[in-house]
Amino acid sequence: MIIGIDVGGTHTDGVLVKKKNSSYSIASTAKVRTEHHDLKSSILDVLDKLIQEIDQQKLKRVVLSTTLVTNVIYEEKYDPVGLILIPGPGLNPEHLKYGEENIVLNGYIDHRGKEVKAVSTQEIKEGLARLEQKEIKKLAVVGKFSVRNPAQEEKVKKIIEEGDYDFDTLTLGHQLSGNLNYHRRIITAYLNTAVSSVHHNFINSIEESLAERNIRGELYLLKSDGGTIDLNNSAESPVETVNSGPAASIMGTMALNQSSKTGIALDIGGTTTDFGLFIKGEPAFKPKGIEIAGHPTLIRGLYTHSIPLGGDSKIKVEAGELKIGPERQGPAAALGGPAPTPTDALLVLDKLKKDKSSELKFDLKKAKTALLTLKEELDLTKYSNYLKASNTDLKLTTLAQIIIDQMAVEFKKTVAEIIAEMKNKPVYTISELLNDPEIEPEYIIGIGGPASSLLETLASKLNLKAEVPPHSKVANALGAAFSHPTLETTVRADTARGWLDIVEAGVHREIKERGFDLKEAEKLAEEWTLKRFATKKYPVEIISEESFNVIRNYRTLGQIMEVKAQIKPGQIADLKGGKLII
Amino acid sequence: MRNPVKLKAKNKLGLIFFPAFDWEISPTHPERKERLLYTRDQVFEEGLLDIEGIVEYNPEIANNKEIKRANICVPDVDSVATEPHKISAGAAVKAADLVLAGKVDKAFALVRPPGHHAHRVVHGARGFCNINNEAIMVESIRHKYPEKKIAFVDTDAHHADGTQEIFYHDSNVLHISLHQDGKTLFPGSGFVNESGGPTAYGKTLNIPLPPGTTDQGLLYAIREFVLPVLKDFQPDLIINAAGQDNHYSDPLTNMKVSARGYAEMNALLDPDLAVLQGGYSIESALPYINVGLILAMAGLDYSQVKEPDYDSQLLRQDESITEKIKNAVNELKKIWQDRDRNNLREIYGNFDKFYSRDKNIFYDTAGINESQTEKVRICPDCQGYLIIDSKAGKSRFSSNQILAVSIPKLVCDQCHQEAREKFEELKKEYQHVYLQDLKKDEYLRS
Repeated sequence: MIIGIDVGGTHTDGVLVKKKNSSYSIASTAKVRTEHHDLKSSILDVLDKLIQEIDQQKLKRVVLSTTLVTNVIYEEKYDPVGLILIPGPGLNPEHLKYGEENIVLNGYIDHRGKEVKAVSTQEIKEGLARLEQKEIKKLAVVGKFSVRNPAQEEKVKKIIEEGDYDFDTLTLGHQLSGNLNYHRRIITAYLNTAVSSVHHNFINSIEESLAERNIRGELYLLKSDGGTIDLNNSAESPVETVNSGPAASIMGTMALNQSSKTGIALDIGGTTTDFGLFIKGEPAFKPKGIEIAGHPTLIRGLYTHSIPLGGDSKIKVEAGELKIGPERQGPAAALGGPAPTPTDALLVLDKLKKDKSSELKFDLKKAKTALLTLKEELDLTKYSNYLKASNTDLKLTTLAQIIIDQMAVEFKKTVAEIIAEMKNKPVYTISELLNDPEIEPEYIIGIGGPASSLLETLASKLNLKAEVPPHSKVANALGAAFSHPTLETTVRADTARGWLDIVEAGVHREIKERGFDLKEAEKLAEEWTLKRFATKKYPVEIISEESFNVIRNYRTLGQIMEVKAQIKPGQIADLKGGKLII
Repeated sequence: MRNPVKLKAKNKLGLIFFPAFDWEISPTHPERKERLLYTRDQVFEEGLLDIEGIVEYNPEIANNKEIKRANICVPDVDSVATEPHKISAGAAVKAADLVLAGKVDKAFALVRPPGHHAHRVVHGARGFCNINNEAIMVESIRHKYPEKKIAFVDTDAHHADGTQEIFYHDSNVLHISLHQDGKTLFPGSGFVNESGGPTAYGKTLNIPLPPGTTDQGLLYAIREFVLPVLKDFQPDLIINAAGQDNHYSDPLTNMKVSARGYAEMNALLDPDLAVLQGGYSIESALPYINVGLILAMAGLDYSQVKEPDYDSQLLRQDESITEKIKNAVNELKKIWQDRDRNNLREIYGNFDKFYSRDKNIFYDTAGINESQTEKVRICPDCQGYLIIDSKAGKSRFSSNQILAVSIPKLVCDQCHQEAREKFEELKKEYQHVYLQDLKKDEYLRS
């Protein structure tokens, strides 16, 4: 048995999945209101509801997607963080001082990982003393090009470990990602340090609580890349669990849909709609890393795009034209809300497909009254194609249709933008430029409250097949339940300098192998991915590789190569062919 | 989290970065796959592409017609230019489009291979260039906006002979090239006395810099001569053909300019467009120069960009060099002040309806020798048209002759008709005759 729990902004949902032969079925679901200041209790409430009638021993796997880290970052509920920066020359480092205290050390690692200027022990110690004096306990050390040579970051760490310091958290920038981008590395390292202790307390208390309940199954957290991470391992880089909500939604869509085609995933909520993208069945990634609270990071995450348009968006008339959103003032007018909303329009059109379990009582009269208020200010000449020649009066159902059409147009525009963004992604080789990526969506799949009611209109506007999977309300929890771990490994070898780096595995060593080549680098990338993963369950794939000669005076001195391997996001079981019974 | 002031470009900059990692002339050739590898690493690591107001674009692929507006390719475009060349030219065209459409304030085509050694008639590769990206860009601009006045400042260490020659008789294009003295470096041209044809006297300006010139000498020439000239000329667009081989670490040249010198020069020139040219110190110079140029074009602080081995002491300029540059600048000032002179025959000798020049062009990359006679029609109403007679080959015995008539966009009706008639006449007499008619946008080959 498996449990997936998703902590959402309003509700925390859980799902209990049972396995029979090679099929899975949803045994029960649970829902509670999310207590923002005690996420643990929300999680445990859902958990307790789900395990009421089962034998805890049979629970093999529990996966949580929580907003804990996200909330800590957005609400800035963390202790001050001290940054130790080693920027070297280049951009003016003033704009990099995100720390409550910032120490800028004089060191310089160049783009090949050569140490141009060493950092002095004395300077490090002075910096640390200043941080102590300011009562900073949490640190991040980040050097420019530290992924090419982590020695200077490591030196600071060593001095801290060997000295008599009172720091409790330390993040080294190079450990978070194999990708280049000093600015993002600093922000990512800062956030990782910032959320560390809250995260730590959380995983400890969850572990305790599960032990009390005699649950001995595997425990995972969902990450922003749609993969899971073992609860204990997450302590190293807790920041990876940020933004897992949208990832859960995409992975849930994947579980429910099981399509190997290209399509758009929509999670339509009250205030916003989140878009995701599947390319030939695989969820797409944000190319450089996700943004959190407006800050760019190096955190790998699934592609999501959010627009402020949902079922409860306020509709108003501006200069004779309808405007939907961006704000939400409350629930739909039909539910006693203050303003007309798309949900009211759907109700007037009799298109609101009500969930059987829903206890919501929609009042059609209130919906109609609310829509009527819009009619008065509307400039009908702008909507003349909706009016029949003989009739100059706008019927209420026609108005409702205009609203739904307009929403569909907005969605259509967003889909076009997403496709354009993916297609216009910068490329750096001739073969990539000449071979346009094929991103032609064939379907659109929607989850979330208003999805079932809106999707058909939307799909016909977009000329796509519409899918509304059943049980889409627990999609996120299901997404968590079925997601397997993910991992990325970057092998970079500079045979001319004779150095090898695998930052994710903490490897920085000289190359002693003779004739080290790209094949060798590929092998290492695969080996280390498996080694770090511990089990051999999911296929490792090489996602990118490059190899360049290093030439001096027309002589080849060696090669610079980089290979990235991953275990991509996916499900613990093959759910194709209706094996997920709902 | 503290909120440090976010970097924001003062000029919205379109960056077309296309390193063509899968293309090279040969594995050990300076123009090889990894030429922009280290630049990519530096630009990515500095996070330049995350800065608000620096926007990355993919290049377009230039079509054959766009290429034909600038180059007469023998025997045809596809024999001279392959996809990589068309992409590099297309990137330049795209850069101009972005600026002219107002999508960005400035654009930088950080692409390879370069183009500035390609002349109007192209028989093969020369100085790593096949087609002239910058000229293709300018003709694409003028196809839409024929009246635009354009100024080139070519800051490659090699004389921009191809671009110079293409616009030699065009008074709407000011072509300034600063480069290592042609007596000491390929292509061996670019002297002070190359100052444009009789219809465009002073619109070609060459500033030969002695080997060993540093930031000081380069910036002196820019401040003392280039900036005042630009101010007088009042161009609609300034293009920096941004070669990077004046750098002190460049393996092919003997100059001593630093990355910061380059950035400062770019900031002074304040170009609308920049297009990468040469520069083959791919590891020690290009990463820093390109970061410097991107920052300078975006209007951001470049003062802390520095090479690992930068040493201001080593970059001191010899007094004799300073003196030579001063002399060249003084000579050039006279030419510029005198650009509207009437007594052109004192300079060009006797000419009547046509002014004629003979040129020898060596294609170092392809190993071709070309001898060319170029005649420009002197017309009081327009910039005239060209008749080119070109013989080229790898040896005297395998030489190939072509004739070409080239008609600019701003040609008067009479010259246009006359040139078209010339084309018809030449066709009767010669086997290979080309017509480049920018006014009709028609490109023919007999």
